[in-house]
Amino acid sequence: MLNENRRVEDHPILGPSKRGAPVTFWFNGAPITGCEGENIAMALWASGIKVMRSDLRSGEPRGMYCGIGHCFECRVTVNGVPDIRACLEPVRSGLIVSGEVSPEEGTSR
Amino acid sequence: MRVDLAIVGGGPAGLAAGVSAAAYGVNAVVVDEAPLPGGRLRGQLHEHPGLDGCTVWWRGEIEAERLLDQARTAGVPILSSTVGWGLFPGWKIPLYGPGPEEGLEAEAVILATGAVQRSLAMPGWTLPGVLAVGAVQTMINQYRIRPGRRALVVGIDVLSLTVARQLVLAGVEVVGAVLPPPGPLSGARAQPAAVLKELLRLTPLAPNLGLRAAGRFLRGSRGGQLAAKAYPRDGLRVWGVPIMARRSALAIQGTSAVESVIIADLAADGRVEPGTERTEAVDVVCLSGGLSPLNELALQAGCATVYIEELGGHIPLHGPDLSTTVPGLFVAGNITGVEGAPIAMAQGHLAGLAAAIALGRVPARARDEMVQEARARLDAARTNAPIQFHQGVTTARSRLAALWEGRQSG
Repeated sequence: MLNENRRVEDHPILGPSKRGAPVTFWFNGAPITGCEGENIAMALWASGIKVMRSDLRSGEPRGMYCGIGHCFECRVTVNGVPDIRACLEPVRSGLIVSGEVSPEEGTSR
Repeated sequence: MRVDLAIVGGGPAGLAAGVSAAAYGVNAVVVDEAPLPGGRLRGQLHEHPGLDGCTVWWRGEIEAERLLDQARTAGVPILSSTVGWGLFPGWKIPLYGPGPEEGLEAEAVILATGAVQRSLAMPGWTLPGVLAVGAVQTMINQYRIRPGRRALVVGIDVLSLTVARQLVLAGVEVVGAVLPPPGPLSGARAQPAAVLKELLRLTPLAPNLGLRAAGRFLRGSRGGQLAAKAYPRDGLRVWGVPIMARRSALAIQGTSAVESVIIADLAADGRVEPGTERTEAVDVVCLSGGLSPLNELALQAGCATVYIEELGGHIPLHGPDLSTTVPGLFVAGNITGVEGAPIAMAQGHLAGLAAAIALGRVPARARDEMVQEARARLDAARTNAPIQFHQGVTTARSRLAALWEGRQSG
């Protein structure tokens, strides 16, 4: 699945896609190539990655849901900072992204 | 950072408000949590009737760029990737993100926060591969990424049908649009008769757009219960997508991501017909639960709100110039009720003017004429709107105006 490319290169109404330069970042230790202008969630999805973290209580997989910054389902740790919404965080070369969640999560409820 | 006017939200309403206020010399700043301004406009793509029986494509990305150009020309600073997370008297707006650390201090505020997608909770909806309509629109039309190979749309409404078509255009096989599981969470959204009545309302939109056959059927049966009884189980096709208003998705299944959905037939009264359950293999489920105004900052500031179903829920009570019950605080766009982007832009234009007036930047003799012109522009945007998001928006707006009047005189 990792090599799957879901990018649409030519759209019947929108025409050919203009994409930014390729940027490579890390997700759970694996290199992922996105395009400049994409956010982390979209770049992962385009590479065939839907599972972004697991729920600390149930262990169930979680991924992008609302895609526009409201639901926080796609939260990830970026360069050590927890709870970053992957759908709002632009990809940058060398970013270290992991599906870890903040240590407090799952302890209070 | 001290400014005359803080605008929260960089979508069509917020950007238009910035441009409008700046024209009167107001020092305005827009706060936007997305890295790229334009809001939900960027994901929009739909066809609507134009002149002479032709159809026109509305391409949100182009509209967003145009508006952004205007904002840049007007010299309106936009603080991107920045969240305005509170609204305190004064007005003080604390910021999270790369914006000024001390936050914003403003004489007047326009809330252009937009709408939030209502959750459509159902078994399996937390599985990766379940996407809300907004995610699908953004993914396809803004980022040009294909959500999957085979998709099912859950929820039948104007937005979900538009997105179903966008999926087809992106090369995704759409097995159909079905209703959510019947129950208290879905209410009328899972009732075939209610949904068909809504579909009938949409048919004028589409003389040439694929709703024609469905429209003939629905008018013939006058919508409602009768249509629900006669409606084919396999659905009528709209833009090639079967609209299955007599079927319901009961549960989404998969181990680490969506693999299939259990679908069942519904009786005309909305009950699941036992023994009709079957499994449909899909890798994407697109959920549509409707939109609600994003009103937290207005609530925090103490704005009076009213609940109006047809406008999407709890909205800040506002006057004809988009002022709220709190002096110096204005609203524009979907926070005032869920409508289309051209209406949001016209509201932004009006709110920017109203704020400029409140700040004393518009000469007294010019005010009435300017406001009248801006209101005429808003009326025109409403008249020209190809479709209303919810049934009865016009009467709901009059009701809101009466509530405002009542409060002013009481």
